Amino acid sequence: MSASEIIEEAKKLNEKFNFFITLEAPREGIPIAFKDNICTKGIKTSAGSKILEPYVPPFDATVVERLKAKGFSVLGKTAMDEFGFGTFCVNTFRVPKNPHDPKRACGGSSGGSAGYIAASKLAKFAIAQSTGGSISAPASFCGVVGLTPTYGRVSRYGLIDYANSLDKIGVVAKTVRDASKALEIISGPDNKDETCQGAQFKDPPALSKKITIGIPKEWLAQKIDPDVRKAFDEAVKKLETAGMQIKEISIPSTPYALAAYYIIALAEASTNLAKYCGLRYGATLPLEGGGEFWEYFSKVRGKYFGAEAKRRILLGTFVRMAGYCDKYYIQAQKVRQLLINDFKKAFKEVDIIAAPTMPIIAPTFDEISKLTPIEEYSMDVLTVPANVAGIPHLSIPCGTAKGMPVGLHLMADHNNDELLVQVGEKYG
Amino acid sequence: MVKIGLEIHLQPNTKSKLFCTCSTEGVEPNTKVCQICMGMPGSKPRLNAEAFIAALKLAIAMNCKIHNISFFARKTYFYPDLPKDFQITQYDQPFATEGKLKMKDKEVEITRIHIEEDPASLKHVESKNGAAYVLIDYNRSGTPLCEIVTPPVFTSPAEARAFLEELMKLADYIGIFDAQEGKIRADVNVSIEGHPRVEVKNITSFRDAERAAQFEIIRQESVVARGEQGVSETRSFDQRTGTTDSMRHKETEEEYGYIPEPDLPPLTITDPELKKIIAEMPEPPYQRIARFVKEYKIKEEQAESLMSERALADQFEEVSKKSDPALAAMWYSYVQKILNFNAVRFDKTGFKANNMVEFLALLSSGEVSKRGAELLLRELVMKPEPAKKAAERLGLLALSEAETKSLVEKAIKENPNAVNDVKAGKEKAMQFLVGQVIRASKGRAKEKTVLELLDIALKQ
Amino acid sequence: MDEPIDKLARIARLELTKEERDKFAKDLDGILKAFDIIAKAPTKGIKPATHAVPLKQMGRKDVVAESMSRDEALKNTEHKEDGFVKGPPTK
Repeated sequence: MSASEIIEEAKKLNEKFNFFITLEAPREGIPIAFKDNICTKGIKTSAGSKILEPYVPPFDATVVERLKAKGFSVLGKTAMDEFGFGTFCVNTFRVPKNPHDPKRACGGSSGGSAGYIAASKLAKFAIAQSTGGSISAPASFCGVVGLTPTYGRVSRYGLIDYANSLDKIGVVAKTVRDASKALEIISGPDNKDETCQGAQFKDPPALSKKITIGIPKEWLAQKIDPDVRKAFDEAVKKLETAGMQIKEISIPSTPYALAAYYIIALAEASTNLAKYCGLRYGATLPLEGGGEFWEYFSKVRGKYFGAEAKRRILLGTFVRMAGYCDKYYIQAQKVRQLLINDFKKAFKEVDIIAAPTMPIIAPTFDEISKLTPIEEYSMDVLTVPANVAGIPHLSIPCGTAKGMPVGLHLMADHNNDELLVQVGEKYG
Repeated sequence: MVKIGLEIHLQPNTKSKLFCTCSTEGVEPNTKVCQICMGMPGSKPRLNAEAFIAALKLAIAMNCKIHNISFFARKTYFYPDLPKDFQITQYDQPFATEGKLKMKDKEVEITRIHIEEDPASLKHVESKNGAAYVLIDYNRSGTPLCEIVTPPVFTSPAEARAFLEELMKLADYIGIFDAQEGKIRADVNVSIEGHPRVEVKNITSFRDAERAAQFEIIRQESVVARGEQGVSETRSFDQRTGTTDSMRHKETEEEYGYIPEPDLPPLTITDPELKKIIAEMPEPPYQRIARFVKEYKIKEEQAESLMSERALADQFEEVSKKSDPALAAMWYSYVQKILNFNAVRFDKTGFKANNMVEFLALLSSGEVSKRGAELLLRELVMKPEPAKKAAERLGLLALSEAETKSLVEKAIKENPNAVNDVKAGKEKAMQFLVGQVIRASKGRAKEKTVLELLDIALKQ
Repeated sequence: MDEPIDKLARIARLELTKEERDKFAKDLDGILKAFDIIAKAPTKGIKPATHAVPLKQMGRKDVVAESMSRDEALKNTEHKEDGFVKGPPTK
């Protein structure tokens, strides 16, 4: 399998499904796809947003450097929700189509990477990123593996920020083993990112110990499509057959997790997006006639940010304003601690937590257009708890519902990514 | 009742910036920049540990309470000089609070000290067709700053200014700041009886801080006198006119929307680490002055003047092990005159303790006269070398007895009238002859020897 | 929502059309109502978690490394003059 074959295939898939924003033709190395919020030196990096569409980073993200050092090259930059703002990969100028059914979305925000892996016969893995579930959701919708490591085990240096305390770079792949090998290359401490202090991940040997799996009762009580639930129940039986003990556990802070996630994420995002104002880089407007600085910035930002980005910036600005900060932002940070405490308690009883990844199958574009913002946000209810707590999680395809893929979500305690991968592999 | 408070920004003398490895010394615009200090997407801050230590030293020297854990915060607002449109600073949990600067006759309370990054520098330009714009240089962006805040404890502009001078000297003394070249600026807040607090920004010198406070007091007095309601606001100092103007678009506190900086761990200093830094700190100046007076029996003004640079005070103590402290103190004041004249720092001259010891020895033994000593020291301080060698080279060493004798004989021969006057008992004539010999020797003849030789020669 | 949408748009430097203003005001109302549930979370005695994992102090030595060339630094913008970045006026 040569680089040129990979490039040719990617071109064809892109024409059909819109997986890529930028496609390159590297002459060396094994070309792989990167989500477009990961800086690639000399190659346009837009984070799925018109406001950064012309931006060409003068440096590589650490994950890119590490992969290049192992003989990989940049195939292209995949489509994503603008800055990561979305669950379906529709909030952007290039919307990828689900290869299982092109009338349906790929899932977001790493839709392009997941769709590409699902459709490609040659690619083994692609680099993706998660804040509230953006690796797991598209992996589930597209029927591929999505591995999100413990927060801080993969460097965020060169990742265009959505929410710094929640962002994690991870992998979508055909198999758990492929994902694991890729994670080993990109993980490990990086002194360019002070929050990247986690130990390097090592591709583990086959599982040898007996495993207990806990299923949070509060999560099963959420509104889940009955066919998705059926596929999940089958997956649980398969785990039991593989010799794993299943029990019910409780994550009592579940009702507050979604709100806590959005409040923290949007507060941080609203500060991260302040830098996009037409100066230094990105889309811009002529200075003449642009007015004074506060007018000029408002015009540029008003013109180039999408609706979802604007909505999140407004919300994020609100929840950290003096007078509201305690009630929303500080309170959400406290809920984060509650969730971490809940998980720590649960992991004393069980080794792994399992649940369906998403409550639905990939929706059609038509269905998505009818959702209200809060309805869309609610689709993240099963992925946000793990993401807020920063624990590693793995979505594995487990059957279908109405002909579309369903994802089994496995989670482990902080820094138990290796065990997570072992169990995922055992599931098969 | 005048109440003045200060908010001072002091740049510690680090080589690199606070969150990136760019140099803090850029000349050509935008030549000391990188993705971090230009706020490019994807970049992340990396803390300069020595900038934090410099700030800690300042806080320790001002007797602050040091918090083991504190937090960086994001202060978000929009201005062309902010590369990220947020500034990484410290908000409600700074690393140091509740301190005291001990000055000669009083103690000034310090509310807090924290570290933050400096924005870029802006230049306002008007093009030929009248269109205005700004030119931005990011060399300054990301430079570390220590922010020091005092409560409104100063009761006069002069008092506030004196504090600024003292603070700057202290920062220099502990080695984190160069009083000659370092960057320090102060915002002033002023309120008089019946008028709310007003903050004045855009002040670039200590003298302007005093001027700004003076103007504000007068302005506020006239507002109150007119029976008007004073406004609590932020004003900008106009250096040209010495006045303050209202500023537009001032963000109020609520609009910064502070959050803890999520790209950085909590700012931490453990007790053992703190102990180590404290142990390496020099004796505080006010304590050292008292000890010098007591131990070395020098005058208080001399001791104070030795504190102008720590290296000076250090060297004085070393020299005092071998030489007379009173003599040393006197001559170190002359050293300071030399330094001021040449506009140079003592710790940059290379003048060592043994240079001073040798110099003082030459003086004490009479091998160099007082006038010669001044010339010699001027040379030695700027171009240090063994004192005797320099004295020889400059022709400043005292003449030998034989050399003096020949000059004495010459003077006697050339001044017969004076000689007769001496023999007739006129004292002044003797002084005249001594003066002639010393002049002929270009100051190198030892006065005592000249007198003795003349005495012997004229008694015949 | 207790703040006018115009105020938020001003703070966030977002120029909005009337339709956007109306839509976002409504959206924010609905979303914040759903968020109000966190007030019920049992957070008494809980410290806010700024990160999901404990992080220790990092920090580098005070060494200078080579900076980006000016051309590279200004490559991504068309607003430049004489080596400076050009920006909108502040007065």
